[in-house]
Amino acid sequence: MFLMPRDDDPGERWADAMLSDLREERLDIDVTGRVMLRLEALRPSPAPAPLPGCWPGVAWAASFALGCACLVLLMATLGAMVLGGDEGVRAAWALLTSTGHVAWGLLGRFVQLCAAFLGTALVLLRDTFVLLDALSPLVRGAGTLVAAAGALSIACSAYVFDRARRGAPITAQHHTDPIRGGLS
Amino acid sequence: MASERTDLELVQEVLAGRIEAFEILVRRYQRLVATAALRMGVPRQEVEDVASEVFYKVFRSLRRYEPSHALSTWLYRITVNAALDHRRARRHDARSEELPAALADDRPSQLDDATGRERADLLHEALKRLPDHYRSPLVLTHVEGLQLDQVARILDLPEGTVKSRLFRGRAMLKTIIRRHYPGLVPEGAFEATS
Repeated sequence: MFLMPRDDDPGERWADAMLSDLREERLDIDVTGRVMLRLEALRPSPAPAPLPGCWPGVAWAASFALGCACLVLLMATLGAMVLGGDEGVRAAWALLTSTGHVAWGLLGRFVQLCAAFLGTALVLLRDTFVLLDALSPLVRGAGTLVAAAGALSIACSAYVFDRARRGAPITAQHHTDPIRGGLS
Repeated sequence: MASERTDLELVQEVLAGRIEAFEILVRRYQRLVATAALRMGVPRQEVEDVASEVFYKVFRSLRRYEPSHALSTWLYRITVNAALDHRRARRHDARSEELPAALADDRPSQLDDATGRERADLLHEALKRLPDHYRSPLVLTHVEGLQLDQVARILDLPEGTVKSRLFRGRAMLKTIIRRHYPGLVPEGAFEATS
């Protein structure tokens, strides 16, 4: 698009002359260190140096041995407490026993509830099946009636469509072109 | 020097993970970026902040650089946007110290006979009175000395729009200088142009 300068536009030479002082102006700065420091912070920290080949095996064996030693120490302590008739162990045993009783009772009630529910559901299912069996002649009859009505509807539609086509006025004549092809 | 690497080679090195190559690009272009930011109206004492922000943005979006255009054009574009963002961010705080609206204030500047650095500062002041969309094409064309197509690419505008903004920007600058900074113009200059 070509645009004519406006009347009040002083022109390019005026602007060049007026702003020439700014063209001479140079700003010397050094932001290199600052920028690079900021970019270094973006760099992901180096991955830890991999251990020598045998180290993982040694670490695993040491952990396993330490775990076994802890287990042995725990079992020995528990054994000593039980054999020594410790008051805390007796209390803990009593608590465990009563908890077991309560849990067993709750489980029994739950099983009873489930059994009752299943029994009721089975009775309901059997009754439903008997009902369906009794109603099956009715359902078959209704299905046959609906199918007959559908067939009758299709026949009526075909008849009405055929009558309409026969009685429709002719609105245009078909011209056939044997060279280009067409309806004959 | 024959072995000096081109901008594109340096960009490819940076993209390959050698951050050190970016340092060369910063050294090469920091003066251009700083000077452009100053000319776009960033205060002298804040130019370093804006320049480092520009290079940070350049680094973060280096993958989007299109080698078909000069790196400097892309840098100009990011610098112009950064300078405009900086001005917008500061406008609210600096409203109290902002100069009055360009054409509403008829008082001339106290410095009627400015020279050197003072003159440059007054020109910066005068340019700051222009709206951003007129100042950017004016600075890029008449101060940075870029071609119309480059300016259009930097500002992401059609060339016709840049031209019309240049016409209006020059007219406004002329009015602002005549009203506020008459000392910047040699005797008879206005009469010769108007």
